[in-house]
Amino acid sequence: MGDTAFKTFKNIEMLGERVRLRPLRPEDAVLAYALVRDGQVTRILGWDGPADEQEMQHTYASVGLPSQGQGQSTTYSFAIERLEDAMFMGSIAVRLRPSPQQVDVRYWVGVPFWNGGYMTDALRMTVHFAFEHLEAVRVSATVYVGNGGSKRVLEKNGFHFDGQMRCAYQKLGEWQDAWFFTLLRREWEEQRERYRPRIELLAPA
Amino acid sequence: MTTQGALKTFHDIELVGGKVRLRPVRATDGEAVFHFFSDDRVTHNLPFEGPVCHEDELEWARKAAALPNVAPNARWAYPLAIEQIGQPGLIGVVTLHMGVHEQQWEVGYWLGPWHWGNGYATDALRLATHFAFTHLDALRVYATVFTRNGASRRVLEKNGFNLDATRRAQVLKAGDYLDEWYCTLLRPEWESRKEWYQPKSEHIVVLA
Repeated sequence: MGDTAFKTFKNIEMLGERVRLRPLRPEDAVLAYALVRDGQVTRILGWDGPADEQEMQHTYASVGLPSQGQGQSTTYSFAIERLEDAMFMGSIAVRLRPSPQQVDVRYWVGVPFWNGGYMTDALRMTVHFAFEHLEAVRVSATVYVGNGGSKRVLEKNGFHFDGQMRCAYQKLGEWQDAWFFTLLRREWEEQRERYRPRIELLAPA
Repeated sequence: MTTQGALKTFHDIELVGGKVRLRPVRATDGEAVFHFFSDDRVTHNLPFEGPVCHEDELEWARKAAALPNVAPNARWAYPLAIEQIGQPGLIGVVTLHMGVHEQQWEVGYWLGPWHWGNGYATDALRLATHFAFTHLDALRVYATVFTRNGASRRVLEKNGFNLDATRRAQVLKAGDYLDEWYCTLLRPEWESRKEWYQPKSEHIVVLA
């Protein structure tokens, strides 16, 4: 407890049933921007979204695997690629907050790839990463009210609906209610095999 | 910190309710706060880890005497001392902390155990809610309570707060991850019965 020693990796790769996760890279900004600029994606992001490609590149300048802890900003971000052709589809990231053993997950995938089970597979392996390799006690996710697709992705991965926080976040100038979901370590332990990637390659730093 | 300009600085605040009176924390309150924080019954339900250090509390009170002050976690805060009416002396504190946005205010409170069960916390929260919506222009006031603290939840419910969520394993306290209730009161809800939150008398001096 209270051990804030945080994990560094040179590389991480996780292969699931439909997607492959690998560290997000600054070069992904171009494709990411092309997918994120779609209003249907922008609307569900936890931030207002990039104004232009330059802002996306700026945001992506420091993505990937952290080389040092940055408190509640310590983030491990992954690109979600389609397994069969390595197509870049979106990203998933975990942040160590509010404490180093509580892991908050955020994700998006481009509209052309919705409803293909990609996000469910990506979240599944990210849950594995958080509990198995970051020793998380809890994984949490916040979703704007009305985002049923994201809610289903969480529920399929065993997340519990903790409640609806009213007027919790401001998004594009408007206050939004948010659904809050959690998955506890003991719940993951009960069925840890189902979260395991088919293949994972972890290179500790 | 960029929102500092939008925040009001108060020279004085006095809110008088049916049972308690709120006033700014003074540098001399450190001793009383240390006394109360030395009691496990008080800190058991507060979201920080002990042990409490005498110097820390004296320092806290010295800093809290400026309104707003910057709390140790770098959030703007207005800490107010709770006193019994006609009986000077701090018996607890109610604090409004700025949330992620200047229209979001988190309220937190504690009371010395000898004073529990008298409706003091309910009255203090009522006055603090009035202060947040009337003088800080809050859009929403919210509070978090450990799920083992039913008394505190009742204080919120009596003041019209809604239980939005039970966030599991949300707070690390003394080595354990505790579940937490998350409660909110929205501006339209306050507006629909604002008279109920109105102090018997108030004296507010805004500096800037």
